[in-house]
Amino acid sequence: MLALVNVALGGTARGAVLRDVSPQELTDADLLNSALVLEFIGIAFGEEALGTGLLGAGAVPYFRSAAGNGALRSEALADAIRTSSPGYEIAERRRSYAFGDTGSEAALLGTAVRLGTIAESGYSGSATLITAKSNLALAASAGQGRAREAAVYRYLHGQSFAPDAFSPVLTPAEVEQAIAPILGG
Amino acid sequence: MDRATEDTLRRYALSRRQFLRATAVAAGLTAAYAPAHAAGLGLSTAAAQEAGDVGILNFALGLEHLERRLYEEVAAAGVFGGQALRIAREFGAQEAEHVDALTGAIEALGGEPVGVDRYNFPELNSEEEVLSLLVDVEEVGTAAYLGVATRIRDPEILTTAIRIHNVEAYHATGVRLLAGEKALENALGQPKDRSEVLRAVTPFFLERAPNTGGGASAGGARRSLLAPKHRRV
Repeated sequence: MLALVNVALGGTARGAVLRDVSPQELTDADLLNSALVLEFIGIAFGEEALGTGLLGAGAVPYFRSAAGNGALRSEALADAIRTSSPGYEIAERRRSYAFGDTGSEAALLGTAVRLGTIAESGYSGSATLITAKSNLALAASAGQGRAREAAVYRYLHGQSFAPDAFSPVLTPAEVEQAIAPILGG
Repeated sequence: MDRATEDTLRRYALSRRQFLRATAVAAGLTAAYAPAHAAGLGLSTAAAQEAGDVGILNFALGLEHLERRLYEEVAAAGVFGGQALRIAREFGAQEAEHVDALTGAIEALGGEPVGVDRYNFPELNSEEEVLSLLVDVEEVGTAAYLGVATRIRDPEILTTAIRIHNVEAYHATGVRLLAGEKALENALGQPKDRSEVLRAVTPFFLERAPNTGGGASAGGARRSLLAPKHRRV
């Protein structure tokens, strides 16, 4: 399932093996690595959005905070992978991603909402698959961080902080499908 | 009693008598977690303190009852108007959905859902103070779910708890922004264990009303959240 992610990142033969792996066979390292890819996407988008100069003064501080938070979460995830699976090939940030329309603040905010929701939902969807409590604690904590950012982006985009009483969930396969276009897949 | 608890009590206790009473209750809880010392506090009853998924869900339910009631009071007090009022009603409705979901989950597991408590919300003097209270309560709720996540055994309950936890994070973020506070200071959420949560919310609980099945609010005279001279007409 994570094969697409790993192959797009120039992954190893493990990528081919993962293609037919069921969610229950995913290791904690696989799940945290997938989360790491989402963090890299979030950081890269934040930087690109800030670089357009199209974000209003009200949005800029939040995009900056989120990018910094993403960097901290990335470190935490990479550390957790190294701890739980020494030798695991950890994802690396790509040079570029296909974010689509970045030609207006509205488009940027819309994408920020979408990416934040995918990430938050991915963390939620991986919770029951993670085996080590320390990794679950990290995933839930990181998911909360993404949830807060998604709420801010929705607010900036004129939407409700909390569209529903229960946040969305994406399975690992659904996450993979959602980010495939961004990775060029 | 630690300094943080004392500061919380000083911030929310309106009178010296109230402060002393809350202090005694908090000290009793902190010292022993003995339900007998805090018989009125739903969160500290045996149901909410027991280990296992039912106990965890009941603890969360106690917090959700508190939050739902708080938003009801805020919406009814005439403190907010416009966007803030709309958000308070929206968040309150979502807390009510959380109450229903947790109550249903507890009953499905054969447990007894904790009932609604009687609350001791402070009289506050401004919209800003009300928002500050909402920030504190929402942050405790968010941290509470994070604190119990790794103890939940049932996968479906874990997923539900995570989904509610994220919404509490949305709420905390929303009231922070309304209050003009920073919203994205931390990359990672910070958990609180049950003892820390109890210490934080003790000032808001009076003795427990008879179990109403988790539906209606507890009896007693309804006090406005906002001090009389500051209520909107």
